[in-house]
Amino acid sequence: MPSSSEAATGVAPGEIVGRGVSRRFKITLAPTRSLKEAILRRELPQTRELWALRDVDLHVEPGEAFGIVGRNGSGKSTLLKCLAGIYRADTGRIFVNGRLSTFIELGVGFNPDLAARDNVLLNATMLGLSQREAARRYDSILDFAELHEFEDLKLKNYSSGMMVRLAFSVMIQVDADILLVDEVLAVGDAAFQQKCFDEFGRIRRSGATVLLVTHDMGAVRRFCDRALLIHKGDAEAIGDPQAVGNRYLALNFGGERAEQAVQADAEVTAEDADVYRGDQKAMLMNAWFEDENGQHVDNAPTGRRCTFAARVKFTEALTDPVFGVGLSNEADRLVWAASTERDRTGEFAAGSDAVFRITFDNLLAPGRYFASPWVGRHQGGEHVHDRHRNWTSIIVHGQMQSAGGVVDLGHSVSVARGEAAAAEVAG
Amino acid sequence: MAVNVGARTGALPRLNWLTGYGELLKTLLRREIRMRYKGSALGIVWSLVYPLVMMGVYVLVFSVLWRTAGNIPHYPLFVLAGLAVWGFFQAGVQLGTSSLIANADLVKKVWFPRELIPAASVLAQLTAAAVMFAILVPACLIAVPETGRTIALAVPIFAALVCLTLGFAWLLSIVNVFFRDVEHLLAVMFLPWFFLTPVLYGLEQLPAAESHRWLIDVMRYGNPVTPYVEGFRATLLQDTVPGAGLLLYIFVVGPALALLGLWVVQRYEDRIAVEL
Repeated sequence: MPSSSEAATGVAPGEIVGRGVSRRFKITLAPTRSLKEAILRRELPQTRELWALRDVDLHVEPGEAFGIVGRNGSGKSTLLKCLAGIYRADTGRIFVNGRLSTFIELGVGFNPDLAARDNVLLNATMLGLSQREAARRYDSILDFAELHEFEDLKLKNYSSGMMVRLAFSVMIQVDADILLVDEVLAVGDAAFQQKCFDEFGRIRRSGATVLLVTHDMGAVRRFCDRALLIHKGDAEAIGDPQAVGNRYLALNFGGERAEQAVQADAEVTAEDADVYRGDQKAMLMNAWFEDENGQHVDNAPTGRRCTFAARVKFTEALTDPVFGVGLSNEADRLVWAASTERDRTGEFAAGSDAVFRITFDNLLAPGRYFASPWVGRHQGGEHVHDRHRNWTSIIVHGQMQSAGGVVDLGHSVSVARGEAAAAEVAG
Repeated sequence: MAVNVGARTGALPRLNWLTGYGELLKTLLRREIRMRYKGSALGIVWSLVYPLVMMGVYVLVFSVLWRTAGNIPHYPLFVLAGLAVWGFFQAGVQLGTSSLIANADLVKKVWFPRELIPAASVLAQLTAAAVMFAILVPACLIAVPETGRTIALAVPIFAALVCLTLGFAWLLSIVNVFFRDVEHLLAVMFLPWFFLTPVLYGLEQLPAAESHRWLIDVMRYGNPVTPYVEGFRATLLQDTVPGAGLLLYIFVVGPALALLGLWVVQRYEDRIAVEL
């Protein structure tokens, strides 16, 4: 959406610059809500100041996917609202260059009493399309949402999943230069989520800047080039999403020692990030888990078969690349890894796509497991094309047959008693 | 375009939203109109039913039964023209005042010039006014053919009334964000305000008009709606151009109030999202 303009020099299209941004709120301890109180009250109501943001600097390059993470109440949404112009910064300056899709939430302005058709057209113009443009894109919006048959249904009769699909479809169809997204990736069913991720990828490749506010570190790791951690209004860390993510987890769950350990670890990771990513001749696009019926899942019962899958895009022609995945547990210990190292996987043309699946008997103990997939060169040893650390995760649940441990190996127990046992030993 | 999001406060009200946000204003308008008439079979015709019924009642009471309106020619049209002005003003101000709160969802989540929301509420009322005109203007031309000479002047007068309504809506919508009881206060005030506005009567035709000159002047210039009612009616029904004083009032007060309201909205714009 176009904003009122004021010349800002040196800010490229799609770029966001914030310098020393602070925002304070006056919290009225006993708020007045009526005219009578305001007039009759002698002394001014007591107020307390709360700095939601303190001196935050950020710089988002054009075309970058930038994550803003933090706990609830940390100030991340305030920052987003400042960037969107909904709040004004008390100090500091913000420069935003480009059409902003100021969507703090999906489906803003949707009216439950109007049909989907009207809502789409209204919503699209609210996001900055002209009415003619909105009408022109109407079909592709409904196509993407897969809701053509429901276009005349009033929105109040939509399920929440359908509503979100519709809203998301509008948002991605308006071609904003800058997308501000607050907590919207956890929407829809698995198949639609997959589609959204693909679409985000497309938007990013088209050169749009994406600002993602979330507390889902998985999403940040998967999508973002860089991330900013906000803690109690301060910019706590900025940089590699992996490092920022670890710092975030440490802040959330760790004591001080855990924090230091993770921090040290994170610094190493950040340094090695480029080496770690490989030469990008093949790129991992996304990864997920499937159950026995091929449905996308984020949890799986222990003892059943489970499949890890990842989509790969080849930027160069490759012969017999190796696909693999490692699963590590919450203590960041590698539990199991599998790959196609011994197999010939064949030829892949430049520009082609492939999905590899690794199916395994899920003997993992209940808990959360992080998948780190990679694509390597045939007999290349450590030489990889692409890899991602702890890219997606699955929660294994159910009752273990074993008494403890990290895996639930199939086993049997027999007990021989008394003389028979002695005879056995004597043999 | 490069934007410094931090700096939007100015000494003067800005009008750039008229050009930069025309599409959005149209969108909000369409939404407003759709919602106002959704699900009713007669739709916009309803906006005509109310003034016509009221006109019937007033004619019955004041003209037929009480016979106090005998010195006012074409009394039914006289009332209807007054109701057109008052109805637009009242509905516009009332809906505009509550519009920011009604659209809190939008205000908190998307940025665009906030003045658009009350403006859309007020301007949506123009559809009802248009229907009203479609009845009123031909009726006046049939009843008083010579009024064709002055009737064109009704358009700028009504435009100034739109400005006045916008001004009130902008000012009160902001106050309403901070003190929610403004909405209710307004609902209570509109009825006495209506009777103090010469819709059912003409100020000059009142029996006490001669003896209480100053009271008449207070009623005329102290109530911002009165000059619009009188001016509108004069051009539409009485084949006269309002006096210079009245014209000056009409074309200065309305636009001035609109600019003041706009400035206030822009001044407090930042606090709206926080308060809601």
